[in-house]
Amino acid sequence: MSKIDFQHFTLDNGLKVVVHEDHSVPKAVVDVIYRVGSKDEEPHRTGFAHLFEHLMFRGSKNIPSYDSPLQRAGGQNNAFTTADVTNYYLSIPSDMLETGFWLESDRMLELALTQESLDKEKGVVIEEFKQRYLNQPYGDAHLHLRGLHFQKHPYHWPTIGKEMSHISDATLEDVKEFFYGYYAPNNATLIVAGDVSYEQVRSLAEKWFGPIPSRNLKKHALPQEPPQTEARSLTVHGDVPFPAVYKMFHIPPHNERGYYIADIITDILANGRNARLFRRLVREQQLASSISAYPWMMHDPGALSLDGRIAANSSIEAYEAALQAEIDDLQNLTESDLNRIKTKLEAIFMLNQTTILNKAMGLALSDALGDIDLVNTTPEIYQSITLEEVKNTAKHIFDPSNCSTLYYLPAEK
Amino acid sequence: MLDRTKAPEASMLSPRPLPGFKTVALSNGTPVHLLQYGSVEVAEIQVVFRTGTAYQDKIGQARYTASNMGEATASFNNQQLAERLDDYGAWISNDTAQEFISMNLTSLDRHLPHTLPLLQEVLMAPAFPEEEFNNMKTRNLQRLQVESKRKSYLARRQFGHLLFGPDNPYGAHLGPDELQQLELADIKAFYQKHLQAGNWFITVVGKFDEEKVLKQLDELLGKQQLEDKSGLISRAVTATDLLGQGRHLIHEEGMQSALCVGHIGFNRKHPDFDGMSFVNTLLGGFFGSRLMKNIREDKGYTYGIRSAWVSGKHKGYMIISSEVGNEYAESAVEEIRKEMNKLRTELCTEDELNLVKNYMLGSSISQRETPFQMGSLIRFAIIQELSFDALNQKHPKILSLTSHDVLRLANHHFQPDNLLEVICGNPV
Repeated sequence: MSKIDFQHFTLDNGLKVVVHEDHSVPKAVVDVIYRVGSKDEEPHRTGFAHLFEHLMFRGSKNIPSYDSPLQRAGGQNNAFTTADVTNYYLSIPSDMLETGFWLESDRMLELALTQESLDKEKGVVIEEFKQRYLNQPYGDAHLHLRGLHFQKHPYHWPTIGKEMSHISDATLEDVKEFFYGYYAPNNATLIVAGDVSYEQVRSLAEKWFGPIPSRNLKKHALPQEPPQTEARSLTVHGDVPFPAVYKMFHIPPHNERGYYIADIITDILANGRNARLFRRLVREQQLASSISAYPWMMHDPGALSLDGRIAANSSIEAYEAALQAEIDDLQNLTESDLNRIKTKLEAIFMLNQTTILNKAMGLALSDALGDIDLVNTTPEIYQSITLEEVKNTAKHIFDPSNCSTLYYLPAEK
Repeated sequence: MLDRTKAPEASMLSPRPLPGFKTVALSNGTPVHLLQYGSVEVAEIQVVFRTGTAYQDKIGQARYTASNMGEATASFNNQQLAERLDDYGAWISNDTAQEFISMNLTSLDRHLPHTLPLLQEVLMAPAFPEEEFNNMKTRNLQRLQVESKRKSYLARRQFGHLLFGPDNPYGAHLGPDELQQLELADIKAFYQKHLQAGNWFITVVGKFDEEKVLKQLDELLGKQQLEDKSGLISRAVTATDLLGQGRHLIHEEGMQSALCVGHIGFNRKHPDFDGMSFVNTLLGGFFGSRLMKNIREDKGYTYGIRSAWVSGKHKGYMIISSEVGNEYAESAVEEIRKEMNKLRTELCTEDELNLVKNYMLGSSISQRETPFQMGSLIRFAIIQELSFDALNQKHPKILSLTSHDVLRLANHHFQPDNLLEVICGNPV
């Protein structure tokens, strides 16, 4: 399999810069990842990291509008916030690369925050909260489930925030404090990929990012999640046509081998039409109309989700009994079942390499996780996982005392 | 001293012509369009049929025929087929649109000798087992019942019904009631009539061994007698349009209202197509559009708003959609109308004109990055009867637009006083 070749260097202010050359199309990607996410928020002021991501587009110290100059140069951008990181990325014709450096460095230097821009952006985020979580069937399921699954760790609340009032109450001072505590060259990595050269990136990085001072980062120890010792459950009602069952299990953090084993287990269970739960519970026994399983990419010990929507003529009891039978049946997994998953994962890695943005983001997320080489070693980790490891890990993860369940039921009329 | 207030120089981008593809014929005359693209050794093979939702007698017929073809074949039941594909890390998928159905194989080049025969099975010998059809129908009925709780879905469906009519291919929308009516016999009949050799062409895009692929395609798909399917007619040509206007409210409880606002437009052959695609981008087609700036960034009514100027092979329309807080629904529609009127009465600045031009040219680089995107583009060009030479005219045309052109185009084609406005929610 082809590797993603990259070089890197670090500026005096602590900013790590990674360069990946790919000259197949005349485009460059500039990705800045900050090691700050919703886990860094305080319990009574949640949703901040994400609100802040929005504010980063409201203009910086020397540039009143972020988007327009980028669009004028033929570029486009977006960003996302997770519990662990905030990632900003832009694509731009490679001739215009310097515009990307100019924009990203100025907003790392200082934002132009005003009460007015804060108030407007709060409105947008509140509408996002409604559109994505509150005004959709089952949209708030994970809002409830996370709180049940993580009781001590700040993964307890979702990235959008625990409640809308935390966003509407945010003050300008809160927001500024957040910026200086976390947005700093020594808390970020810059990835430049595509039709660029190492020398060019080196000189542009020194020119635009070099003068930004390193900052004293806000350091705080996160409360760690104690081991779960008994099964938990919660029932909620909403305007939905069918009951649904959401389960979460504790798994190791993203940079540990156990995470990758958990990922393979979710592929065996629910990824693709050959996956066991889909084939047996959805197609053959028709106990559920859809099932999905996936690990959450978290830097601290995280979660594996198993979400099922109950079929019209089925019941929660029948679904849960069949689910348990399938979990038990993982102990009968064969080498050829496992090899099939590995072949598929190899193809997925190759397909992911068809865009520069995917490669840049892979570098960014791996580096934020603490090991940039993961971008290339991940396929090898998957290939090295043994049948015994899968069976043992499955036994451990799916222990009933390791599980939190949310029952989402149609509202009684 | 570094002057951070000054932007690095941004020049106007120049148009980049599309890479030419090669066309050859299999022994039986089937056209194959080939393009080597990208550095990853993967190929996508599309077998594209000249049919689609505009050719169906019953709503859902085209889409469900395509998806059931991939369920099981004469030689492989569902599980065997899925396992075979997994063994080679390959996928068979389908795309159904108004004017085409495409069956696609995505495979590593080195596995094609094993995976291409599976695509041939799916095309030539689908088994259409009753049980698979019924299960798929039950599952999707439930999915559509959940969808029917989404205000954006309800508004979009009603918009199509009111603008074109529920029986018009441009207005038809598969909902739970329509799916309930669909039978296996409908699927089999559609397959027999529409998805046959002779009604198709093939595209191969990626990094692949051309000689080997062509030899294999000829063995698998180049020997059948081609049937004459020229008599199949798109209903889009004959359908009448309802042309609904005015305010239509669907009352649903909740925190937000979904809006769909728009009117009739023109088809892909209209000389103003490229111009209107520019005007639409300016109005609501990208993150920096006027609607986004006004309704999201300035007013904070919504998380997002977008407009689309849709030009199909036979008809077209404009649609603006958004989800806004219930208390903002009325003002949002008012602002939409204002923005349309503004484009019809005020010249845009040179700066804005150049910004949108460069944005469109720049983002086209990302739209042509992968072999999959190029495969879709070749398919689009052939179905729409446009050559790559014709598509290459788009960017020079856009670059030549002046603010007076924009004013003329908006004036001519926007109809803010004849808007169809569908609002689903609980507006106050």
